[in-house]
Amino acid sequence: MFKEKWVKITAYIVATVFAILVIVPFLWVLTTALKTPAEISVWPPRFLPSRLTLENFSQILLKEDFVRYMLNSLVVSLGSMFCILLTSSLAGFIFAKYKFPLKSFLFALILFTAIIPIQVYMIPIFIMVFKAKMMNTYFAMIFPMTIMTFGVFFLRQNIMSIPDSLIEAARIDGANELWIYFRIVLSLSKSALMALGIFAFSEAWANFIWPLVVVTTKSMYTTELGLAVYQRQFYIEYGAISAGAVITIIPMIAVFMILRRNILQGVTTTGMKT
Amino acid sequence: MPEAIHQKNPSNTLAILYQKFKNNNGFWILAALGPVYFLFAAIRIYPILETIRISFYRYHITKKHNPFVGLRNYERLLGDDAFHTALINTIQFTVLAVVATLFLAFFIAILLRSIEHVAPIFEIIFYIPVVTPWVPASVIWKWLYDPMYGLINYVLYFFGIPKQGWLQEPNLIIYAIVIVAVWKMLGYYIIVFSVGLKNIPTTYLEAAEVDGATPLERLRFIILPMLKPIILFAVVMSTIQFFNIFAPVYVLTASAQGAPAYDLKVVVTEIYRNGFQYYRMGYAGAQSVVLLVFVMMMITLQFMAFRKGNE
Amino acid sequence: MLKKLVCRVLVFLFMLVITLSAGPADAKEKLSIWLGYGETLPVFEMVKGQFEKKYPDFEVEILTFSLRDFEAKLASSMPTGAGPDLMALHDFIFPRYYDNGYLEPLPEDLAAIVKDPQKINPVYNAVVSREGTAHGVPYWTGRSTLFYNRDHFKEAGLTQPPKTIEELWQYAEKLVKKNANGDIERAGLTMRLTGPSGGIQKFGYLYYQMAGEQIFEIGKTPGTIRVTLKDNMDVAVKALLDRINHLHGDRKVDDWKLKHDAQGFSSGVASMLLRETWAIAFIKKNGPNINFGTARMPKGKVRGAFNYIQILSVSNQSKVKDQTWEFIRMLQEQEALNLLLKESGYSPLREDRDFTWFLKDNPRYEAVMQDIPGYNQYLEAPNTAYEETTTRVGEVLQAAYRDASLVDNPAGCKEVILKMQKVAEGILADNDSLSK
Repeated sequence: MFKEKWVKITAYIVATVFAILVIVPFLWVLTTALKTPAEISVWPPRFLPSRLTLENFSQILLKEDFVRYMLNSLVVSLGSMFCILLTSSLAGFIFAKYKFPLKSFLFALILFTAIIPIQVYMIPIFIMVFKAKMMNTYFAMIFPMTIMTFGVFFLRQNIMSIPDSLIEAARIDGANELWIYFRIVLSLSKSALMALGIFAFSEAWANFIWPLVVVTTKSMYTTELGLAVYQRQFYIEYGAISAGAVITIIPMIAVFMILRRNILQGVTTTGMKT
Repeated sequence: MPEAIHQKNPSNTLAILYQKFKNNNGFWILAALGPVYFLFAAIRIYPILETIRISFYRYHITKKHNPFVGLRNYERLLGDDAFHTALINTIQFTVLAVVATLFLAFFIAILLRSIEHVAPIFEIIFYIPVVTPWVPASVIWKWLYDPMYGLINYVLYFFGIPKQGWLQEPNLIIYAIVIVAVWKMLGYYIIVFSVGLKNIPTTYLEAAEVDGATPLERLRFIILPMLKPIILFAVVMSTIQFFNIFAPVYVLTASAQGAPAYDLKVVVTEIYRNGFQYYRMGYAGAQSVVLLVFVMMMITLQFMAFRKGNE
Repeated sequence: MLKKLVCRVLVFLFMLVITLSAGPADAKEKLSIWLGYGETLPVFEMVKGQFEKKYPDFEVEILTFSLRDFEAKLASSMPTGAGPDLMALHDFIFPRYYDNGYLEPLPEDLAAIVKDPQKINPVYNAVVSREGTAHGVPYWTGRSTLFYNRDHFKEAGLTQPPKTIEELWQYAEKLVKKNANGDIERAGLTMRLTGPSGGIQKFGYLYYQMAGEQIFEIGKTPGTIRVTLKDNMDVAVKALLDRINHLHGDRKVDDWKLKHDAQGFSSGVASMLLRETWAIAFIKKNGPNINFGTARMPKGKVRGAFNYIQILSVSNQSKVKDQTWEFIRMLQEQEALNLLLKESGYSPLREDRDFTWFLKDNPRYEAVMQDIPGYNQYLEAPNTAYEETTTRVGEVLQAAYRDASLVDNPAGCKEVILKMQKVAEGILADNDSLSK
């Protein structure tokens, strides 16, 4: 973006400093996961463990059906992610590029629904799911996470930057709206979609309170539910929690790395070169 | 003949409307937006309306009899010091967190675009906190802040600064939690801004450079204006997110034995406490309504501010 | 582009298939158990094995939760009928479900056991059966006790743990250690200074000994609560002054910045601690080098230990009630109770079973397991507004702790106590549980 040398130097310095600040807590998580309980509460705090141990990890992974929990989390998170991508891009497109009565009102309404946190309104949804006898199904776990206000909003803002002339040209050429959606909108919003996708995936994965109330059988547990056991009644098992955090983060980073290539592919397009 | 044309025939108006509908892609809009809106209605709008309805009752789900009490919950709110404190804390927290996060994120996003070849590494690093679930992240920070064994105090101790009670002192704890919030969300907003920056055509910037504009001028006159929609998004979204902050406050102020902490109240922790610990769901509903109205006002102001800038 | 589309459609179909496929058909009948204390899980697992052998058509599923999550989950599941068959309820959650009719009354034989004072101390019976019919089986208890660091005591020239409350504070002043700057390095007595309900509960430990009754006592009619602070004003003020005087100035024995509670004690930065049974196992594990002993609660006007118990109840929506009661019977057998004691350290509440084998190897548990004359066992009064009253009143208390102007200021402390009384009564009245 900026080719000036001083900008580049500043960039390196600033980015490195902040990267270090950001990563240190995570490194702490990692090293803690490899320490024994006695070593965790020692002063002065030791960064590297004197004795590496994998007992925190084995405690979690070998216990019960942890692999099953990860599979459940994967299904739910992927399901949620795809639904959110679909609903957000459709709605975002409509709100960005079409005119119809009450448009502002409808959009504002969607925006305002993001304000109230789920802990507040989850009971009515819970009752709905229970009455439909869908407890303990993947459907029930994914259902509240099929839409995301942030998604609609984010995609709308991004799609707004697609030149109207491009769309008009396609219409004149005889394309129908669905074609425009698939061929133009989706391909030009790739980066936004990937960014949203990762975010939606990690939100779904980290969701705790909803699976907590809607799942009543171990076989449908997500990883977060499985790990909650380590926040014990009167104290916290830091070693196990750290190991759990590491186990949770690894798939996320994998997904991020897979999608990242698509998010920020260097060259920008003006949209006029088709 | 003019009279024939202006004849207000019911089937005529209907036909005109129908024509309008078809011309403006009415079917497509309904087909595309309809199902999505239906989901929003079922998953968000209906439950929230339910919550508002409950706020007029004395309600808990385990009770068999939940009487209607009209505005009594709202009256209680007026005298509830805890809620007032929570509201003030939340506003303070939100302002600090939004400003810190967005400034830093924007700054770093712009810089990263100038060192594109190594940018991915940094992006992954910044994004790791975003994908770390709130609860384990907060637990680890609670420990970093520990007055006796925490890393932060150790580093200060190294520089001769006395140990601080980050989570114990009432005036320090809010900054401590802001730091955690910024740490967590920075990477996300860096990506948000990066996506927006990517959409700015390089041709404009190159032309400006040729014309002799300095980097700062290019920033002010090209980048910022073109980024307005994204900036609006970031401001609105971060306001909502931080106003709703729950997990880190809940974890960091929980006085798990061994680690006493000052009980910093924020709006959502109060709502949760009232709903699930004091069994006053109706009252929690009323608090939620206040939360809703408050944030709605803030967002509307933000939208208006950005619209004004566009004219 | 087309490939991507096909990819997406395939994935979507895959999702659809998974979503619509319900779980595997249930071959066996299910008995679901929900616990709030993970440490007791091994016992339930053992009994599960025995149970499934006896009833091969049954499958037992046990879920454990942290207390907060447990409350949220029960609150959303019970009213909608999605709850478990067997619940292990903490005694302060019990009233909520008892009052709203979610619990099944005990069958004859179990009811007889619970009513029998030779088998279960009547104090516990009172909690599970307010109107004469028991709705739960008292299972185990954690009791409050005094922990003291023997090495610190020797260092300070003290030979025995304090026996009275005056001694407690005197010893604390002797045991506190300060560094060159005057900052406290080691707390003489580590106090619970922050909430939520912990603040008021631990304050209540000493208040009980001094006043002879708890802050919240059973009211005149069943289901109501009486706030006793006003009736014991001098005692309450003294209890508060004791704390505040020892938190500021030169009589300071504790500080907010120190590691507190059992963790502090395990790290050696506290010489004395008032806590419950679970801390014994905790300190052994996390502070293996700490040479500590336990003693009974110090004496005031009376002497007694605070109990919090776990109650086994059956949901009245359960479809397998008889089998659930069977499971509970099995949990009450000697072998199961032995395992409970061994695994968690909590004291089973059956007086007709023998646990001396445990005490032989674990003398520290003597203070929390053996009953001696003159030493009361008491429980919190059943209070449906438990959380709210303890948290809100605790907040007033905790603010007072930080207020240095209250040192040696009985009048100021009186104000605080009156405020606590007012807040508590307000909440109880609002809940229709204030004693008239």
